[in-house]
Amino acid sequence: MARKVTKLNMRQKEALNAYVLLLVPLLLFAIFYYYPILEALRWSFYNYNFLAKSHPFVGVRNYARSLSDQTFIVTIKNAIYYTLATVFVGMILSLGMALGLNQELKFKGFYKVAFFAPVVTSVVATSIIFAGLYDTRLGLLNYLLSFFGIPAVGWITNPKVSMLSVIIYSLWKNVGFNMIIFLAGLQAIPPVFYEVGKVDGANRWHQFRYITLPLLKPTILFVLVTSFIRAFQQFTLIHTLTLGGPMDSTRLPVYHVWEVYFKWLKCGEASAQVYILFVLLMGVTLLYFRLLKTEEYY
Amino acid sequence: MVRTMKKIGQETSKERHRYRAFRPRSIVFHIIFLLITFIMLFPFFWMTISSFKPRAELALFPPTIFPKVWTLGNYETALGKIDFVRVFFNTGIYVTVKVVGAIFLCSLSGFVFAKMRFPLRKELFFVLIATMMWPFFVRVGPLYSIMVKLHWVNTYQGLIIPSLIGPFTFFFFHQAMMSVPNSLIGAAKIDGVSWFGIYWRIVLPNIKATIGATAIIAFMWSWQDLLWPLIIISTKDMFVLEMAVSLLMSMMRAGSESTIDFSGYGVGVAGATISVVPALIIFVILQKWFVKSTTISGLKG
Repeated sequence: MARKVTKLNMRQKEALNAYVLLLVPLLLFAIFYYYPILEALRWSFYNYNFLAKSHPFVGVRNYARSLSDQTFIVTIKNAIYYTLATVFVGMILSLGMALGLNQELKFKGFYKVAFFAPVVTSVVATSIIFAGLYDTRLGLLNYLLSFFGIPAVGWITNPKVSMLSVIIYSLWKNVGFNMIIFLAGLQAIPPVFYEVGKVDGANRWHQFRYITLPLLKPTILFVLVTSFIRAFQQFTLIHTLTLGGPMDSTRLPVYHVWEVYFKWLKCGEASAQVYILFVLLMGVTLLYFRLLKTEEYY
Repeated sequence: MVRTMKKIGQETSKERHRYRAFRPRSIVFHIIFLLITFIMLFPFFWMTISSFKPRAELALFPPTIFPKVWTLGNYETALGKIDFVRVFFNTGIYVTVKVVGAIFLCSLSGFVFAKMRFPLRKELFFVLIATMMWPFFVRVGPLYSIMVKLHWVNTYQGLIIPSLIGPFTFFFFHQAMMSVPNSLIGAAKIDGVSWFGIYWRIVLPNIKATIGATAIIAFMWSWQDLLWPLIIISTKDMFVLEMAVSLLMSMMRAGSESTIDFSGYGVGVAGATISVVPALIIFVILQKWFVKSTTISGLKG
């Protein structure tokens, strides 16, 4: 009986090629994304520990514990404070700066470079600098304040002020980045719109409100979401500047989770916390999209 | 001031000048921007200047601006505690392999998903994007345990490989690939070029801009990575830059939580200067690229 030798047709060859080319990426994805995500979920239901031999099943105990753990709740509160402040204030500042730079101005290039400089430098290095500036006794900031008769502020030693100091540092570090993005968005608006507006008698404020802002919506949304996600996951800054701050006043979620996982080795609890945080993060992100999507008509 | 209804473009030269070079307003802008420049750049100045002050002078109050005594002592101590040559080497390897690898893998996958037909393409794409959106901190614990099982703790592989694919990079390249004209690919197919060949020799050169943009931004952020290196690396000889400077910082802490032993501050800022200066120099030289990359990533995003 003769065997039919089938050659693969073009489409099958293409499919085969595709899968072969995707082999490595998909493998990496499965091992380093898919598996850890599921495994973390599994851990959250066990009394898991890296070193322990046995891991008893504990159901939702880790979740219940975390939600009633004051320290963990505080990190969420801090995260809300931190992200709201840095994202919104940061956006106003960077948009303002971008608007200012979006005109014929001498030395524009120099300003762009100067404002962007903090972004490219190491977080640790700049945190060290700020730690010195913030020092209660010898810091430059308090020294300047003393000229105005204002008593020394415990920038990173006073729990009431510490988060503010962290926020100020964050703004300094990141405003330049979003400014460049806004500049790009502004320059993408065709001048025609403004000229038509001028003919209709629009003044500067009208121009901003009815031309610039609506056309900038996609950029604003982009900056909002990316800044928020980045801010929520802030770790390095806390690890360097405040270690969670005086009395947990600057303890942020990722820093906390890192400690629970790798210092206290309570992996089950940490995994539960990680998923609680994830749900929060996703929820807010979706909210952003929903909020800004409703005004698409212009 | 009422503007007469002249046709746009027909304003007299005098009127155009009146609006553009309106002196008082641009001076105000310059003042504001110079102030902002000062705020942005002063910390770097302060860092450098402090790194040359001896312990005693750093503990002075009111603080001096320029050092009364210039000293290299802080640098000596910093370099003594940490082999910065090794650290820069490690970080260089980490960042380069990670960025190059990520660009290669993400552009290849982006190409396959954007330009090739195969069963389950849409479903796979969706699963990929959906799962890649999950933040890093969700995976962190099990990721470490995998590293332990693979004996990759405190190794270059352990450091680099988990960071190779990322959602944004992948999506970015996917978008870029979509805008490559299919005719190019069709022509190559007719000429009998292999699929990988098409990717490598035809499509890649077309997206040079995207590659450049991604590379610069990825480089910039990767130099500042701390979380994963902190977890996976345990010995000084494998430190990356942020970890090294962080070590100097922790040496600066006077025992309790966040108070700083100011006399140790000099060493801290010396370390900071060592890590910041190369970055700033590269930034100034390549500034156009940095701005361009950020711009592109913002527009496409």
